[in-house]
Amino acid sequence: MKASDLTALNERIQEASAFVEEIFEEIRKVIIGQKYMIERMIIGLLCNGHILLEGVPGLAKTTAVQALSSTIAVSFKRLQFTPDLLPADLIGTQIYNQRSGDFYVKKGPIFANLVLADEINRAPAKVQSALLEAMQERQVTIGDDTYPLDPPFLVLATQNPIEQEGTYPLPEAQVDRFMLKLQVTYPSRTEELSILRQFTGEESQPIQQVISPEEILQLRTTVREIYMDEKIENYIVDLVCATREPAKYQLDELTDLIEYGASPRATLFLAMAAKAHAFLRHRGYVTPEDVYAVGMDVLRHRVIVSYEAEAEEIAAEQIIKQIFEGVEVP
Amino acid sequence: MRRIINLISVSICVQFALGPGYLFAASNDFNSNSGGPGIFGAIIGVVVPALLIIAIGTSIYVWLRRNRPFSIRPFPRRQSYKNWDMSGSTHTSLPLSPIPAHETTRFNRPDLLAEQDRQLEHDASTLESITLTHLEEIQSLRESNRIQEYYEAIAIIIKQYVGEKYQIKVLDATTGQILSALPDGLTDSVTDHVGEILLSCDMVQFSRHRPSRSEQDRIYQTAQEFVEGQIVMATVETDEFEEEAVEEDSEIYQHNRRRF
Repeated sequence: MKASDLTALNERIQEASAFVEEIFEEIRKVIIGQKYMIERMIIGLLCNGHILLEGVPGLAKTTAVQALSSTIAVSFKRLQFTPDLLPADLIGTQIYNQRSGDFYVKKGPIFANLVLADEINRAPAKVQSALLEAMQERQVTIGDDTYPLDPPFLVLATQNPIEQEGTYPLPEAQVDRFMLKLQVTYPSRTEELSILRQFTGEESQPIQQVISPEEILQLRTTVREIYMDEKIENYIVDLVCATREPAKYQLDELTDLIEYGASPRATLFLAMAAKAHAFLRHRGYVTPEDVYAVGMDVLRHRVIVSYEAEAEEIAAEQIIKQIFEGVEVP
Repeated sequence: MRRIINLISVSICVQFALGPGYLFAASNDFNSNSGGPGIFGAIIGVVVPALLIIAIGTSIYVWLRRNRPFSIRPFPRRQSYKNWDMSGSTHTSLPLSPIPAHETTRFNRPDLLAEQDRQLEHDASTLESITLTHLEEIQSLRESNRIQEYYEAIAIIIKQYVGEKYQIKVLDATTGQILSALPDGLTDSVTDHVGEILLSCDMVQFSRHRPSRSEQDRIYQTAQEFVEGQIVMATVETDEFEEEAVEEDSEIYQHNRRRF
């Protein structure tokens, strides 16, 4: 890449990514803090990847998704997953019309741009797989007809880490379809204070639209154009391979702790997420910093820990952290 | 002294060995009047050793209070020893000093720590001079038009310097990690300089950006100024600390003057 090309690309990226700050500004009207979550949601949106959110109730997960949908003026649907939910409740069904004697299609809540699947692990496997199929194929089949889902289509599923009684944990193969798994944490003390002050006083201002869905689709192409050096590509591949064969990267102590490493999907998503992260930083090229920033979110649900690790209470996050410390940064 | 302690220890052991026997005798014989040691023996066996232990404990406590053998920290903090070398200062010789002897020991023990101080400062300057030498050496890369390698080398040199200087792990750390690992309380210029250098190097390394001649000059100058600035900052810090110490001593002096 020539210096002039880079300058042009950087300028283009700076111009294109200016909306990000505006989105933050708008979302700040209803949410204090949680920048990490909002930033990752935008990354998901730019990379066409779905997101699994894990966090205790009351951390503004639903509000964040709702606010994000308002900034890009797309349709938003929230689905509370329960044990008695049926696939038809999600994707829709055919209903018989007595007057005309025909069946007509009643589309389910999945036909929205942003879908929040609340407590996804409370629904049985058949509902989860119906959702995950829609996520993967981006289309839904009702009866004999197939209906494409309008882009941008982004599913944000939540899991509650504290109430595991009577849940149906997502199979590993299905978890792998989520681009990012975020762990939403409590706000800091200062943020908590701001929350108290802001939401016990005057009513918050309505959120304005910042960007259109069409522009989001265009930006996906722009994000793909961000330059990734060969060194960064090798770094990403090294990180993913280190989850499979840690001994090759002088991480022998992890060999017994990892049952299964990350899939090639992890390589693709890591590269894409790193590009989107660079985009959010208004840069036309990816640095190891971008890979590190999104690495944990891309890999944490893809590294399956072994029985030994579980017995020693070693979480996947600790293993990934060690991998990041062990793999040479270019 | 050692003999006395040994003697006392032996006597305590003997007393303890005999003590239970006396007690046993006392418990059995107190009412029987069989002619054993009785309650008197029990008192000798228990009370006397207890008194001895109390006396020894008290004397050790007093000795520790007077001599303060552990008052010197084995690992003095970098900034704490700078105001110890006060032997040459007129402010430390307090003619009207009412300060007790143990409080003035801070001024009376400077030599050893001042030596450590000088050694550390010497090491620091060596670190800076080594870094500057390395920066000089890699100019050959620039002259041979290996610009990307030149920038990589600058990044490595600065990372290593920062790692050594602030004792942070820089190997296999990204620029952001290094910047966030810098200790709190550093001046903004340090963080800005390190950030500027490493981010410029990242740009050349990961975007195939070919920096202009002026950019190459600027990165070298920034790196050089940053390292040289660290030497100056160390000197300024020392001077400031000495000034603070002098002010502190003046306050003590004024306080004493008022008291007398």
